[in-house]
Amino acid sequence: MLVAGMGRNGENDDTNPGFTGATGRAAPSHPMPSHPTPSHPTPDANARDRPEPRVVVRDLTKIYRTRRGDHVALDRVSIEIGAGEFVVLLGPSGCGKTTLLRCIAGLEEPDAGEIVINGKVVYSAERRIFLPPEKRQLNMVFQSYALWPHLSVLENVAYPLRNIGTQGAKAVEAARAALDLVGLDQFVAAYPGQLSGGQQQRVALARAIVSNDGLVLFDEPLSNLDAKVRDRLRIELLGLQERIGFSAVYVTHDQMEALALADRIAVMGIGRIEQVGTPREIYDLPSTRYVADFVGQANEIAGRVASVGSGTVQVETAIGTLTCQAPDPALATGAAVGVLFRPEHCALGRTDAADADNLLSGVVERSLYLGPIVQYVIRCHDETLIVSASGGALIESGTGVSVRLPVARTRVFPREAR
Amino acid sequence: MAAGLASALPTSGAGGVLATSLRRLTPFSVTLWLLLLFVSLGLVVYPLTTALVYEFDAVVAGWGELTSGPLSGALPAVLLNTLVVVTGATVFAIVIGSALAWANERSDASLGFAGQLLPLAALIVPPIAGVIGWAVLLDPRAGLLNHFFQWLLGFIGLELRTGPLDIYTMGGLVIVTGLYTAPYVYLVVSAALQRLDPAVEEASRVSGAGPLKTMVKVTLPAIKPALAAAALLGIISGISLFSVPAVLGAGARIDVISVFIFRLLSEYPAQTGPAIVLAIGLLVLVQMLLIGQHLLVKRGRNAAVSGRGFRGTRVRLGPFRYLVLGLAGLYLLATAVLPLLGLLLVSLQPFWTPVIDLATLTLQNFRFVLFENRETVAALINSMSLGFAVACVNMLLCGALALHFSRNGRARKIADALTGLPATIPHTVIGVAFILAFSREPLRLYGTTAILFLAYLVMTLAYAARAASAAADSIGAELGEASRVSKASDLKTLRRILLPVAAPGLVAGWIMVFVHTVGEVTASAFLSGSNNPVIGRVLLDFWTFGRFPQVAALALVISLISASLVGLMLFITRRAHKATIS
Repeated sequence: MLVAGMGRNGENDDTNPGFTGATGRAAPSHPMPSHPTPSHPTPDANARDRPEPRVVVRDLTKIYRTRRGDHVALDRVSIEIGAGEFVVLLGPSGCGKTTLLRCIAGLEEPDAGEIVINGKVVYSAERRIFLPPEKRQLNMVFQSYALWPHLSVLENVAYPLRNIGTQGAKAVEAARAALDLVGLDQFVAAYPGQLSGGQQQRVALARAIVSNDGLVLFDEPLSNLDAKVRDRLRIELLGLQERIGFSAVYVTHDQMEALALADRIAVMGIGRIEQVGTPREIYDLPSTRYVADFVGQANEIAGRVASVGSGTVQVETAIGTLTCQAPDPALATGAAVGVLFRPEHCALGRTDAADADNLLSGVVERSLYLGPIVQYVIRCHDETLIVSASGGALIESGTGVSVRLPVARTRVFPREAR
Repeated sequence: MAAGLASALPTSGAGGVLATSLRRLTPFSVTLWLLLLFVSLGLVVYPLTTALVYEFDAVVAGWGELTSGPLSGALPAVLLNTLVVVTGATVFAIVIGSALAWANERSDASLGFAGQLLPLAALIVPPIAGVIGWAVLLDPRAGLLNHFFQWLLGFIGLELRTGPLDIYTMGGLVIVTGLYTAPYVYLVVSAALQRLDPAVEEASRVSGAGPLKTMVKVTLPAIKPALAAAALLGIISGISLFSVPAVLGAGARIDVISVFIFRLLSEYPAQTGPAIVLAIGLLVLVQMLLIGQHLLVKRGRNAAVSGRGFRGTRVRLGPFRYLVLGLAGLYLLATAVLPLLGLLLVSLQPFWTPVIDLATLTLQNFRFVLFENRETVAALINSMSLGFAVACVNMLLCGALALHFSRNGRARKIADALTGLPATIPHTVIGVAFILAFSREPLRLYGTTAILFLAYLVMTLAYAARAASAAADSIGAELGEASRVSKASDLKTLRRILLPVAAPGLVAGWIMVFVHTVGEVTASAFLSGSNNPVIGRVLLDFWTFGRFPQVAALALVISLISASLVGLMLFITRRAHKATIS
C-alpha cells in the first residue's frame, strides 16, 4: 500500500507541484520550526502558472464555547487545495480535522477567517459572508453513509440533481451512470437498509459525484467498514478520483490510509496544521517532532548539540555522540535536542558501514515477530531502541548487536524545556 | 494561546452567545416558541393564578374549614386513605414493573412480544375500562369471577351467597391502581437497564458474585435513580388517579383526595375554597418530591451508565423462567384479558347478572351507546374529535420543535423543560384550576368543548414531546447534513428528508396522545358536563346511575378503539425500525 502511494506521489511531484506548504501560524512562542525543510523547496515559485486552487482556507478560527470555557478547535488554519488534488487531513481525534472539513462544507460556522471555493468567497468573517452548504458547490461523504432510508438507491443518488433543477429523466440517467461507476447498477431499486456497509458507502460515493461539482469532502468514510472492504474501497476511490478528476479533502486518523490516498497530507495538531507535504515528505522528512512522532514509529534519544558542522550536527547523547542531519532552523551549540529516527531506517549487525554513519552497539532484549518484519527491542546503554528488520535469521535475545544509523535518516528537534 | 486568541475575537463570553442566539431567531422559530410558551406556561400559570387571585377570600375561609371547620372531621381519614392507596399501589407497581423489566432485559426469560405489550397495557385498555371490568368481575354479589369461584367452592361443599372476593376494599383499590401504574415503572426501569452496560454486571459475576448478589450489589444501585423516578411517577399518577377510586371507592366507602376534591366542587353550593387549598397542597407536595428526587439523583454516583444497544449474557433462571413468564402472563391477564372478558359478558346482557344465559344475549347495549342514546353518541363524537385535534396540535408543535432544533442543544433543553412542566402537575389540580379560572370573564369557557381541548392539550404535552424527541433523535444528524450538502435548502430538507424519516415516530406519538385523550377521566370529570359530554364523564355517570350493561358496552368500545390504534402504532414503529436498521 505504501509503495503504491509513493509511486503515485512521485508522479505527482512532476505534474502537480504541491502548494504553499501553508502551516499553522508560526508564532514566536512556538517551540517547533513549522516550515518544511529547504532541501524540499516549497513550490511557491511556480505558483503563478497554476490555475486557481479549488479551495482556499485562510486564517480559519473556530471556537467552541462550552460551560467549562472556550475550546479552540481551529486556530488560524490556512490551506489550499488544488484542482484534482487529493488532500488528506490527518490527526488524532479532537485535533479539529473534522471541524475544518465541516467548516468548508458550511455545516459549522467558523469564528474568523475566510474560505474561498472555486474563486467564490463562501465564508468571510470580515465581510460577514456565510453561504449555507447548498450554495457551496461541493459534496460530502459521511462516516455513517447518511443514506436516506425512505428513498431508493436511485432516488438517493438523484436527489442532489433534483435539487439543482435537473429534469426527471436526465437526473435518473445521470444517477444510473454514477451508480454504474461505483459498480452498483443492479441495485438501483433497492433501499439502503437492504445493502451491506460497503455497498451503502458506494451509494454515498455515487451521490457525492453525481452532480460533478469538482469537490468532494470525505469525513472518515471508511472507518465503519471491515479491513478487507476498506482496502478494496480505497483503491476504487483512487481510480474514481483519477477518472473524474475531482478535488478531495479527506479526513482520517488512520496514517496508512493517509499515506496511501494522499497527494498531500496535512498533519494536524490540536487546532492547527503542523505540516503539509507529500506522504514521502511527511514520513521521511517530518518538520516537527510532533509529526515525526504521530506518523509512523520513531525512536527518540535526548541529547545536546555538541558542535555544528556543515550540513550536520554532533549531538551528545547517553548512547554516545551521534552525527545527525542539521536541523532547520539551525540550533546553537548546547541546545537541548531529541534525535529521532525510524526503526526500519536502522540496520542491524552490519560492519561495512560508511564512515559517516553512526554505529551503536547494544544487546537484543526481546524480539517481536510481526510477519513481514521482526521488531527488536535493543538495550543500548540506558536507552531502549526499536529496530525493525525484514528477512534474515532471527536474532536470539541476549545477543550483542551493532546498529547502524545513517546520518541522512536522523532528524534533530529542539526539546521543550520542562 | 487559546485564551489570548479568544479575547482577540470580536464576540466572546455569555453575552455574545445570547446575542447570537437572538439574532438567529426566525419568524418560524419565534412562532414555535410562542406556541410552546402558551401551552406549557400559559395554560398552567394563568388558571392557577386566576383561581388563587379571584378566590382568595374563599381560600382563606377554606383553610379554616379544613383545619377547624366542618370538613376537619373527614379530612384526616381522606388523607390517610390517599396515603395508603398511593403508597400501596406504588410499591405494588414497582415490584411488578421492575421485576418484569429486569426479566425482559437481563434474564433468559425474554418476554418477546409480550415484552412489547407490557408497557402499553395501560394504553390498550384505558384504566377506566379496566377498573369497571374488575368491578363486574369481583363485585361481592354479582361479580362474574366471584360467581365462578362460588360454583367451584360448591364442589367442596362450601355454599357462599357473596364473595369470596370483594373488589370494593382498600386491597382492591391498591391492586387495581397498581396494575395500571406498573407499565410506567416498567418503561422507566427497562430504559435504565438498556442504558446500563451489562459489562459492569459481568465484571461482578467474574469477580465471584452470584446472580442474586450481582443484582443487589451492582444492578439495583446502578438503576436507583430510575427506581426513584418510577416511584415518583407512581405517586404523581396515583394521587391524581380518579377513575379507580371513583368507581371502587363509593362501594367501599373509601374516600381519597381526588374524589374528595371533586365532590367539594360538584356539591351545591360548590366549596371552592377547600378545593383550591387541597389542590395547592397536592401541587406543593409533588413539587417537593420532585426537588427531593433531583437532589437525590444529583448527588449519586451513577454517571457510569452510558451508551446503548448492549447485548450482554443473560442470567439463566432455570425453572424460575416459567415463574417469570407466568407472572408476565398473569399481568396481561389481569390488566387486559380478564376485565375485557368481564365487560364483554356484561355488555351482551340486558341487565347485569352473574348467571350467563346464552338465550338472552343481545347487541342492544351496543346499539344503544353507539346510535340511540344522544349523550353517548355526543360523548363519542366529542372525545374522538378532541383526541384528533389535541393529537394534531401537540404533535405538530412538538415535532416541529424537535426537528427544527435537533442540532441546537440549548434550545432543546429549554423546550424539554417547558414540555416537561405540565407532567409534574397532578390532573386534579389542572381540573380545579381550569374550573375556577375559566368560569369567569375574560375567558368564560366552562361547559364548552374548548375548555376540554385546552386541558387535554396541557395534560398530553409531555407525551407528545417525548415521542417527538425520540423520533427526532432516531434521525442521525448526518441525514440532514447530507441533504444540505446535496444542495437542498433548510425547509426542503425538513420536508423531503426529516419529516418523512421521522414520520413513523410522529404517528406513534399522535396515536399515544389520541388514546390518552379519549381515555382521560380526571379532567373530564371536572370539566365535562351535559353540554360538552366526553367518554370519561359519561362512563362515570352511567356507572353511578347503575346502567351497567351500557357502561360495559361503552368501555368495550373505547378499549377496542384504543387497542386497534395501539396495534397500528406497534406495526408502524416496527416497520420503521426494520427500515432504518443497516
